[in-house]
Amino acid sequence: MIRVAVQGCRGGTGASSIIAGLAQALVDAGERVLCIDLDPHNLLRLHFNHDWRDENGWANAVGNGQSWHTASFALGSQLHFLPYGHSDTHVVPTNALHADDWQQRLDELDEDSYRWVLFDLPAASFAQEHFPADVTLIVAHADPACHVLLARRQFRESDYLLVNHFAPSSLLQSDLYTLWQAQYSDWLLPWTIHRDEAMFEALAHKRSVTAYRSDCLAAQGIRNLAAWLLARHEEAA
Amino acid sequence: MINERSINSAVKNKLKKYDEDVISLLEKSDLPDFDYRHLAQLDRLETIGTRWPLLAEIALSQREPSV
Repeated sequence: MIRVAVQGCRGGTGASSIIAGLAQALVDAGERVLCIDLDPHNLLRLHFNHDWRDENGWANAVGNGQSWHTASFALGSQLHFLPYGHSDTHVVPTNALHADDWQQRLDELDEDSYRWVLFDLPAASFAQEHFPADVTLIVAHADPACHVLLARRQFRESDYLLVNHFAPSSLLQSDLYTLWQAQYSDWLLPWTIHRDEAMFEALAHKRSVTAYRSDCLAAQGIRNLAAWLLARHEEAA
Repeated sequence: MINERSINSAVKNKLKKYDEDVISLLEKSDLPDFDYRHLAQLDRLETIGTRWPLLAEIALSQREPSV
């Protein structure tokens, strides 16, 4: 079971859209995937055609003393997802996001149930440094705010920086990307996900971008990510 | 008569001699090694610094030793 955490460098970088697209790309490659939303905004489910009025999720289940995975949903035979649930934070015990608890919860799963577990981590405030992930993808826009936040960040060996919504025609974005190539050469993934209207349209259609427009530029970038993860873990195996 | 094979051989010998000359010059003069491959990138980074004040400020703070 390979655990991939995706976290926005700040809010609004498109981390949930990337998780949804990545999950679909992995399923298309024949993999079994579980997506878990750890972000109280509870948006990931909407990429999987879930009813937005349904606020069930792992946080409600834990808050009500039920098993954490009772609220998981299936999208076909290969893809399961677990929404965060009700966004009213007082329902969620303060330790519900604790890294050790997630390690225990994952240990409860049958090792063969899923090959990939993808976590949608909330941006910024969430202490991801102890989170039990094999790979953490930090999603950033090539903009000054992300540049400031990245300058403050301590990168770990398992961290990778992924640039989303990249517009190479922008002088500022192009300059920042050059700067990051020099500064974060050990962490920066060697491709970007281009800015693509299909990424936004996909959510409006309640689908992942890879399911909505598999031929678009953003979907191509996400498939590159899936291929990189598959190759990386083939090598490790 | 010069055939293609002898031309290739002559070019190879010339290149080999050039490599040997450069290596021997570096060894004899005891020149320090330098990262010549990134000169273009360094130029570009310098330009970026003059173009965007915030980026220059952050780069400067990262070069300063932490107190």
